[in-house]
Amino acid sequence: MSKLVKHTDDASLAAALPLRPVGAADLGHAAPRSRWSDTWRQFRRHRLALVSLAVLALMGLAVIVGPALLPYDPERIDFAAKSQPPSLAHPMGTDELGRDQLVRVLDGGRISLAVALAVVVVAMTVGVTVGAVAGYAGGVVDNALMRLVDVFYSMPGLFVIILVVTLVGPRFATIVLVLGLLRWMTTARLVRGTFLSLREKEFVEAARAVGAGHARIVVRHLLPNTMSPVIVAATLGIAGAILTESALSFLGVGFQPPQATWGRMLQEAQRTVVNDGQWWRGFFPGLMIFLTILAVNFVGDGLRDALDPRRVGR
Amino acid sequence: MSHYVIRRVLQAIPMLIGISVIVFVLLQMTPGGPLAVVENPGGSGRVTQEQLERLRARYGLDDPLYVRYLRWAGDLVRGDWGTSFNTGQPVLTMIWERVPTTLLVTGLAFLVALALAFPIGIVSAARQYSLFDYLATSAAFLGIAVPSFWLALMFLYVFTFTLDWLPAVGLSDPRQQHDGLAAVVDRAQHLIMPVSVLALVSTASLTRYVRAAMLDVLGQDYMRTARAKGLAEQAVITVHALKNAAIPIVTILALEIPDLFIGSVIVESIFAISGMGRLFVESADLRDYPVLMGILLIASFLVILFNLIADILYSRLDPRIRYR
Amino acid sequence: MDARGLGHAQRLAHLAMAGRLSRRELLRRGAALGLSAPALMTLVAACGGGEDGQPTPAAGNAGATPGSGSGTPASGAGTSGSGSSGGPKKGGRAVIALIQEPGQMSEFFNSQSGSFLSVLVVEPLFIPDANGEYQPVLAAAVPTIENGGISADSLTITYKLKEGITWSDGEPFTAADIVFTFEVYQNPESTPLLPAAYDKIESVRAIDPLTVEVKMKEINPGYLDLWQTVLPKHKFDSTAVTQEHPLARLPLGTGPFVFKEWKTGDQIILERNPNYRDPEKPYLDGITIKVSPEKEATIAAFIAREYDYVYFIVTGDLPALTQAEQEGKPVHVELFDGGASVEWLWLNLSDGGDPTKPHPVLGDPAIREAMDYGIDRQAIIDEILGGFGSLTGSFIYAGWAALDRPATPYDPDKANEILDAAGWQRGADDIREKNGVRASLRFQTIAGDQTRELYQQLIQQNMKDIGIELRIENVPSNTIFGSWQEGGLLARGNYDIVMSRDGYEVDPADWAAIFTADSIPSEANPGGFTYSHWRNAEFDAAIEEAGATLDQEARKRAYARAAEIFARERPALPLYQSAAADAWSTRLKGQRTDYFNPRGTLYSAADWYIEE
Repeated sequence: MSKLVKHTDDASLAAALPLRPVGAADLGHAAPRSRWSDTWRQFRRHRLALVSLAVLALMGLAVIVGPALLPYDPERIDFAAKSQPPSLAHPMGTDELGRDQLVRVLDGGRISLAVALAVVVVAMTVGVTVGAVAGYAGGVVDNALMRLVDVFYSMPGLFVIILVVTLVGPRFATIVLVLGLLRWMTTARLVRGTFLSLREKEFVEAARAVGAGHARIVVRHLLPNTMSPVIVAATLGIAGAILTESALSFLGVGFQPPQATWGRMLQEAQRTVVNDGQWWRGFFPGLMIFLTILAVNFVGDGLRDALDPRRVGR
Repeated sequence: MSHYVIRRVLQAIPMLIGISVIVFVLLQMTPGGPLAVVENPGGSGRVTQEQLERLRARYGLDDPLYVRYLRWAGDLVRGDWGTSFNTGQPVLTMIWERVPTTLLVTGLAFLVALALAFPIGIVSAARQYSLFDYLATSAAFLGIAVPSFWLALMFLYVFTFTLDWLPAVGLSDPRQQHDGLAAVVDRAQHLIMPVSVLALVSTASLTRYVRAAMLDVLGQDYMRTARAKGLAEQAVITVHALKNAAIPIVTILALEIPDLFIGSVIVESIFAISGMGRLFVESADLRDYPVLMGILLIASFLVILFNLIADILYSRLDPRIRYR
Repeated sequence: MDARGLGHAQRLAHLAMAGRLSRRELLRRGAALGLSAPALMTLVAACGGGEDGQPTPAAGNAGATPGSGSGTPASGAGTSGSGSSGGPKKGGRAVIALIQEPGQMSEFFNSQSGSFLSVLVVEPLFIPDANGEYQPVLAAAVPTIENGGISADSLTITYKLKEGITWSDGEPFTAADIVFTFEVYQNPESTPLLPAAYDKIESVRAIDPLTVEVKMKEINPGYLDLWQTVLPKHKFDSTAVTQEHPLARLPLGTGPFVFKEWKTGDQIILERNPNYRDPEKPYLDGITIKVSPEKEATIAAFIAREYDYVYFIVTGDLPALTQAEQEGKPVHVELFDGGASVEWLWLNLSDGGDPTKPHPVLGDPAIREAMDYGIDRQAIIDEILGGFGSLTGSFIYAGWAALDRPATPYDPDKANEILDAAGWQRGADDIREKNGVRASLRFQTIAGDQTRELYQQLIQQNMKDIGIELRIENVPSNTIFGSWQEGGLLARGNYDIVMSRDGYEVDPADWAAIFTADSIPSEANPGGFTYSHWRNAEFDAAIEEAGATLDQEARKRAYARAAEIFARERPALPLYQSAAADAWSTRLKGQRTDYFNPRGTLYSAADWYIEE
């Protein structure tokens, strides 16, 4: 098989550059049945991915329990401690309202990560559903759904996101839905492609012959075969969602004060970094975004290797 | 093939109509409107009701939604993109005024990214698992993960606040009216930060594409054949591999261009560059509907156009792809 | 007086030394009647003159000529930066950074703040000086009853124009231009955006080329604010003129500079007016207005020598600018006494815009009173605004009718007592409840203002401490201020608390009118601007009484009564009064600062020169 652009690569490209169409042409091929039991073993070989997974786990733990362990409130104003550079008491310094940056980074990380996960859940749910329906039903339904995918692809992503959030108002649900509804299309195409090529395969015919219903065929026989690329796309999608959410907050259209998110903290830091040289205000929130995306990308890379049989034993 | 292209173009029309309807309705449904600018918060311009009525009538803001949409669409078909509520200037003129600025910054960044990504990607692929490949791949991974606005902020801290080497805003020194070489130097100083921020991030992802495409080609049977025939490694890479890797890379590039355009909004915001991205953000704040519609339509058109180009390139590459 | 208060008083004393009354940016309204601003003068007297000897930026500047007795703006008094070397130098260009680019530069067609820069080109008939007294510019004299400019019934005003004024294209400036200007205003096809004073004009007639007679429909206190922008008749072929006309975008004037080119989003080029009436002036070859939309970066660039002037700085920018000045950076900050606009919390007293139903939370006077006591206003000034700004508790805080009324003190204990007494009990999450209604309110202002977001969070915390939850939901200004038809939040009463600046007026008439019940916005009255949806017959009666006479003392008494009712009922809460200040590069000299408007230095652009 000479495939210059593989499905798995499509997913990673789409994630690295959000809202990327992969080409309308159909190039479906069957993802071989995954050997789930082997996946972990394969994954472990990718040392960076393993380390990254640990970093992410640590980060998740930190944002969940961290704020409770620190002696500061992320929102409580304390002018006595205002605009302090990093110190032992405040490892990431404080802001102009005297709030500890570390606790805000952790508290904000909770929101940033929650948004990213929720966006991916929305995107995957819509993407898998649309893709499955289109691929399984085929014909007119397929055609209509794929046009819908085209329309969504053609929306100038960031512009539409800014517009909708500005207009509807920056709430958690709004932001998650808007981001999610603008990044499900790649998954839909991926799933549809696999379904189209699998639905005429012998094992599906066999299932049909023994009287399995549509739902059963889809859930038991077709979906599992699409899971590998979907999981990879989902993982990498987290990185894209974090980046978009923080860009949104950075442009001032995201979450509202006093809620910290990494993007908002960067936005709030602009003046003090540029005019007062308080580098710590911008450095740490940005560093968190950077580390998270880096780790997510490595994990995605590792998953791809682990889930893609062609790369086994590379 | 031409049949396919024509069909795709025809398909694009209802798509653009659909997008324009969605956006138009969205814009008009929300509270606030273009006349708030006129009413001027802050107490100065409590203009009389009659003056507001005149403006509303002039902008046709009292008509039902569908009438306004049909009027807008009708004008568009006749080549009239409308007039900005804010400046009273034709929308197309306003957009065209901003395009060169955005093109200069993003275009330059794109060229820099290409100039870096190709050699790095090719060498990386040719010497897979070498130290260079390792370093380049790592750097690319880091580059992809860097948020551009963070990078910009840190650049401003280092090069403007701390070192005072580079100017913070705009595209030229407003106090000096340079000409000749001095103007070029001045312009270059202003461009360094925005262009490097954009280029750095693009380079990282492009390098990965180039490397991946080259590796794929190098793994093909005919490449092994070429090597077996005794062609020098250098020649194999430059002539054979690059030629075959070019199409997937160009496909990716085509898809990248509208993104660059749309992504300009961030870097234009930070460095106070008055390009398309800023025009969009400002118009969104002012509820300047005609300008917003114009920009969104152009951006959608670009996305569709470059998708089509990418698909055509892509299909040439793999004849098994069915035109559906 | 505690340490914080003492520091504040010292600052005020310094400001007083600068000896200049000031006004934020808007002088389009103003009034003919009594412009002495007594409250501020009292303050200057009370503080004495800078005995503590600490030099401040303002004290070190030569521009601190007291406005009194220094003559008219046109006379060249009060020039700053006369410096060491000789006279003004000719040549060079000044660069002004413009943060918010307006749609048009003509103030006749545009009410955005940026169009005020047109005063570099377009001269008005009158400009108010530092004392708030109007001085003639294009007019030969200020019309008075004594000089026959005002008729006995006050309904006819006769304006005399200066001789020998020409438009920048050399054509004479005459009474016909003023008549034409009014014809444009009247033409229903035109779309002017002018203050309500124009609405009171009955007719305009040219008696001779230099004399205009204006008949009013009713007494018009804004008659000196008319003709800020006169349109050159010879440049138009119709009286139907809209925003799309080239001269709406770049107007033609009689001032020291002419507009040459506007590259949208980039820059506006001004060249010197070769036909300016003083052949020696302007000293500058031209001015470049550079559009620089990012405030933080623009201030940084200003400090880094890229701009000569920023249009316009606000109180929140002053800490950074004064610090830069102290560090020897090439910027000069000029502080004026008297302050500028007050930042208000607008409280919605109606239930979703229906004035017959009280707001479930804010409708309770106890809530409003407790909020008033619960806000630490001094902390906003000291901790967030770097000490700039002042406190006032008066609804009429500026202009001739200004009332000196102390701000409500910060007393969270008292606030809690008030709420306890009123039956608002703390719930499980420490937020108060009464009859199943939670004391939870939306708190909105214009999105993207970093300084405001800081004290917004402080107020949020202050309120949390007394058991009131504020949810910040900032939105673009058009969402807040949109008209009734557009579903603007204020107009529709679709808000709880909105924060914005307002009320810096010489004459309180128009400002007071935005609290009377007759202008509550509704479908029948979409242009109404009583956004608090407040109905108080007593207040309305006082305002009506103040508007029914020209007797200044009687008006003042009525306004004082209204102010008491206002302070008691609290349809809006004052936060702080902005500091009035301006800043320019140290190389730019020749500014005059004896204008009522702090941005008034722009009026003196003919005198500007550059000294490296």
